[in-house]
Amino acid sequence: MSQWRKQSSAIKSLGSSADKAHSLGDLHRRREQSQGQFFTPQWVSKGIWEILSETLSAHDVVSVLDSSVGSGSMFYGSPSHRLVYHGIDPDQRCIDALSQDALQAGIEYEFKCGAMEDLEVSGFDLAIINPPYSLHLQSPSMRPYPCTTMGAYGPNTSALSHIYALEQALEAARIVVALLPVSMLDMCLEEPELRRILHLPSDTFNDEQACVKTAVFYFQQGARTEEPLILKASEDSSWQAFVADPLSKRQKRVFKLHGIDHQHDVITLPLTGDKRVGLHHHGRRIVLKYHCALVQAKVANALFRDLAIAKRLPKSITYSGEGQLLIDVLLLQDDPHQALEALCHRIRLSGGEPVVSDTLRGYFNRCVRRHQIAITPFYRMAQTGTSAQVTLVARRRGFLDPNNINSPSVEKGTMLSASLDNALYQVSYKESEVSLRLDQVMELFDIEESGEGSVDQSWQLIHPGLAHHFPDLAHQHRQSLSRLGIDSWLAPFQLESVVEGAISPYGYIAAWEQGSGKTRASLVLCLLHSGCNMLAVESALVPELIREIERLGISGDLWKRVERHGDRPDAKINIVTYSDLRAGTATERLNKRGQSVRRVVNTNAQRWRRSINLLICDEGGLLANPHSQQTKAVKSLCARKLIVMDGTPQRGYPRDLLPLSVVSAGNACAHQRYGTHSKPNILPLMIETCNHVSSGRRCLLR
Amino acid sequence: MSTFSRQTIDVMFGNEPDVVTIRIGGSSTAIVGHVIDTDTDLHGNVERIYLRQLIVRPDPSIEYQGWIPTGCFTTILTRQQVSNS
Repeated sequence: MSQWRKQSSAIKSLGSSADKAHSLGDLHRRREQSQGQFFTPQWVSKGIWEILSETLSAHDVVSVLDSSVGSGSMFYGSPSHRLVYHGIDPDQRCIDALSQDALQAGIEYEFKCGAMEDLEVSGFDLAIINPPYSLHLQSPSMRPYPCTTMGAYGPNTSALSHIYALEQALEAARIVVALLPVSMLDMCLEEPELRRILHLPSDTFNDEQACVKTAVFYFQQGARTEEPLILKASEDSSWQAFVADPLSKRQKRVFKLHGIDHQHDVITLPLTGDKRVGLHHHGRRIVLKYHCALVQAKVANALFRDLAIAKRLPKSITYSGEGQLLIDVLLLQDDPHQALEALCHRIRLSGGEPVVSDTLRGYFNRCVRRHQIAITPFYRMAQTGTSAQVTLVARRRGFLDPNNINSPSVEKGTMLSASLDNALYQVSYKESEVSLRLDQVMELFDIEESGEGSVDQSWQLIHPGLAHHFPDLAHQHRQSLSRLGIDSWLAPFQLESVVEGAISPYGYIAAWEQGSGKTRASLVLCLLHSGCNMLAVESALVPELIREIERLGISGDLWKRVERHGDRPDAKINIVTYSDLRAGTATERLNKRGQSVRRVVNTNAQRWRRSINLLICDEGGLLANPHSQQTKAVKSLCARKLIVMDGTPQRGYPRDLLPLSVVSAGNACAHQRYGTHSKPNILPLMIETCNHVSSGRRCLLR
Repeated sequence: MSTFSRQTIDVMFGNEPDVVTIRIGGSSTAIVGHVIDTDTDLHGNVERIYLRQLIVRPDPSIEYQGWIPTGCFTTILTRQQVSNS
C-alpha cells in the first residue's frame, strides 16, 4: 500500500486558497473561486479504504472511479496494486500531476480533464466520490436522472453537483462510497442500496477553510434487508471493515468523455484506391457512397470539419459541415446548381472524384423547380388606405386611460374624436390626451369612421399569384377542369384559387371564410389530382358532404365513404372521418411503473399509409395539436400533399400555425424553414457552418 | 473548462502494418489504432497516419506533442515537425 501520489499531494485545493467570505456577497465570489474544490483529509480517505479492505481482498483487480478526482486525495491509503484508477476533474494541474505520478508508479490509470456532467460511465466495481457541493451544473450531455431538471440546453440538462455525482456513481458502480453533506441524509435513506452512514465531525474540513457537516454514505448494489447502520467516526477511532457481498461478474467498463468511442471502427471499407465518391440522396439529404477507406477518411473529415456546437443543437445535426449535404440548404443559395457543383469541387480538392447519380440529379432539378413554385405567394388583393380620423363612442362608463385612475371619466355614449398614428389611437378628452392600442380602444369604445381626413380606399394587387408566374401550368389545370366538366361548379374567384392549389407542389393552409365554398373546392381539387385522394371530415359533417356530392351529381364510382375496418380507399374521392382514421386494435401493456396503458395499434391510417395522393383535412385547425391521436393518424397516412381547410385555422396564438405548416407544407425544408421534432431552422448560412443552429420552434418563438 | 495545456500522443508501430499502438497523455491504457494508410517522407518515415476510428476530439486549446490529431469523423495523426532552430 505504498503512497504513489507525489506531485499531486503537494497541490493546494482552490477552496483552501480562496479568500474568506466576510459577507453574503463574498460567498458567491468564494464559490466561483473555489469551484467547490475541497480535498478530502487523509484520515477520512484512509478510513474509507479500511472499510473496503475486506471487500477488496477478495478480488485481484478492481476498477475505481472518482468523478471529481482533484489531487487524488480520495486515493490516499488505497491498495494501488489491486486498483485500476479512473478520474476526471476540470482542474488541469491536478490531472497533469496525477498522470505523472501514476506513470512513474507504474500503476493502471486513466485520468481525464473535463467535467463530470460530460462524462459517460458504467461497469465500474467501485466509485469513491467527494463531489463539489451545491454547484449548478448545466450541460447538453447530462444523463437523465431523477435529480436533473430543465436547463438552458433543454430537458434534463441541469442539476446540483453533489446530487448528480451520487446518481451518476450509483448507476456506474456496484459499490459507492460518497462523502456528502448531512443534508443528503433523507435522500440517501430513500435509496435501497444504502448500507451504512458514518457521521464525520463538523471540523473535518477545517484545514480546507470550510465548515460543513458531512457523512460518509456506503452503498452497495441490491436492495438492503435491514436498516442502514448509522455510526460516528473521528480521526482517532478505527473504522470497522464492512464485509460486502462479493462483486458480481465484471461488466464492460465505459469511461467516455464527450461520447468518443475509440474501440469501434467508423470506416470499415477496404483500401482499394478507387477515388469515386457517389452522390445519392436519401429523402432531402445527400448521401455519399465511397469505394475506398482512404478516400472516405479524407473526404468525410474535410467536409464535416468539426462537431457542431450550439446551445440546443437539433438531434439531426452532428457536424458543422453537414449543411452542405442538406438539399434544402442548397436550395436556399442564390444558385442551387452552383452550390451542388461547389460541393463536388470540395470533394475533388480533398482527394475524391465526385459522381452525381442520375437519381440525385433528377431529384435535385425537380426540387429546384418545385421550390420556385413553393416560394411564390398565392394571389392576393388587399384594401389599402385607412381612415386617419375616427370617432369613438363609449360603450360603458370608464376611465379614458384604463391604466390611470387620474384620467378623466368617460360617460356611456360619449363621442370622442381620435386620430390613428403609427398603429396607436391618439384620443383627447377634457384636456387629456392618451395613446391607446387597438385592443384597449375596443374594450371601451365602438369605432366609427368619421370620414374626415380619410384617404382614398382602393383594392390593390399585392401578389399576382401562381397562375400569373406559371401560366403554362395554370393553363393545363384550367384545361383539365374544362375537360372534366367541373369548372361550372365554381365561381370565377373559386376557380382561380383551385387552379393555384393544383399548381402548388406542396400542401398549404386554405383559410377560406365560412360560406366561401370550401366543400366544393375540396371536391374539385380531389377530382383534379391524380390517384386516390381523401377528404377527412368530422363525423357530424359527413351527411352534409354527401348531400353536396349528390347535388353536384358526382358519379357513384368516383367517390366512396370509407368506414369499415377492411375498406380500402381506392376511389378518386374517399370520404373518411377522423375517428375512422384513428380507429384500430386496442391493446393494453404495462409501462415502466407497472401501470396499464391502453394503446391503439394497426390503425386504419397506418394500413392506408402512402396510398393517398391528396389529403384534404376539413376543419384542419384541429391538427394544431401535434400530440392528439387525430394528428398522429393524419401524419401516419403520409399523403403526398396535404391541404388544411379551415375558416379559422389560427386558434389562440400565432405559434399554433407552426404545427399546421409542418403537417401541410413540410418540416424544416427550404420553403418552410421552421423545423420541429429535433429538426433545425434551415438557414442559407448552414452551407458554411451548422454551429449555433437551433430548432425551428425556438427561432419562431424568439 | 476542459483545457489541457499540453497532451502527448505517442505512436508505436508493430509488425503488422495496419495496427499501431497509441498512448495519449493522462491514461495508462493504450489504444489500438487501425490504420487505413500512411503518408511517408522521402526517407520513408511515416509522416501521417489515417485511422479507421476516432480516438480523440481535437481541441484547439490543447498543445499536442509528438503527433497532432485532426479530423472529426476519423482521426488523422500528423507527426509534429521539430524545428531545427
